[in-house]
Amino acid sequence: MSSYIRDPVGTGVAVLIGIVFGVTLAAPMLPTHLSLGLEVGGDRITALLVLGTLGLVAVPVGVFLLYLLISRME
Amino acid sequence: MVTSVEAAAMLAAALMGGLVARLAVPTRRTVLAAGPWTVTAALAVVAARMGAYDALAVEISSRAVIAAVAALATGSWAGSIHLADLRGLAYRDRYLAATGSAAAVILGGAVLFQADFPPLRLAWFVIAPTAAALLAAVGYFLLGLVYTDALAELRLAGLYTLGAIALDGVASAVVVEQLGGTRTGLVTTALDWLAGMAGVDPFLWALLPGHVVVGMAFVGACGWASKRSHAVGLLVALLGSIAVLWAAAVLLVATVLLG
Repeated sequence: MSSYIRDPVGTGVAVLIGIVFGVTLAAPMLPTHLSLGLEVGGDRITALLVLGTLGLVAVPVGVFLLYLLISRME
Repeated sequence: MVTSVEAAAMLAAALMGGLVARLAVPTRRTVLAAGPWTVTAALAVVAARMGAYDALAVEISSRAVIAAVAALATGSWAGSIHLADLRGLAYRDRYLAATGSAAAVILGGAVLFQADFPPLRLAWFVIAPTAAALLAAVGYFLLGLVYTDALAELRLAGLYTLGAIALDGVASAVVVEQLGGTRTGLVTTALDWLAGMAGVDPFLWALLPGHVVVGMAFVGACGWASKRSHAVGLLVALLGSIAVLWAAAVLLVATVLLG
């Protein structure tokens, strides 16, 4: 059942479906207005630590999605 | 008692699961690809505990949330497989991983920004999976020395299953020893009970080698079953990793965000 053609179109559609379902599940919690306020924790060091930690979580997820989109290995 | 909402969600999940079971055969990649949706289900349960779905006219229980997420996961996978089928391609496990990752990122972000918690606690979301991955690598290497066939059968799926069991231990230790919670994950509860039978009240970080041994035994058993019947071993690994990872993720996320 395995094929070795990469399939960015199908994976892209799957990502879009996931985004739609994610927004559906998160709908009651989405903010009604957007702001770029980064005032977490009060001081600068805490804000930097928080951003660094979020980056440590977000970067692997981003790399994984890129891998799914362009990888030939299946 | 099962409420009507739960019954409807479970029926939808069963229907979609049946549809997927007709379209797809579990492979080693399915075990890994189910991970993102497992985390999404855990996040949705935490969101329900935070009262995110209280505005809905019906009462939403954890069971209804799990069944609804399972229905979304299997339904979107069945849809993606059907789309691939229309384009003349074989089905892919990566569709399941892609839909799940996107949903987990959005729901996780919404939950993070909704909750009010000390931001430095976010570090546990990095520490716990890293520690679990290190333990899993050590355990899988040791398993490879004593039962190489399991590695040959399961490859990354075995490492992932072992990692889910190690995360159970790390998350429980973080929750109980560092954050002052009381709840523990599935495997930790069993090990804690065993230790209690022996008259010991264990320090949970000290139970981690026990998790590695349990994980090695479970993955070894899956490998043994997989050698006899490929689908059975993979199905056991799939269901086991989903259950353990879901419980550990709910435990960690709920305690870090809600205290």
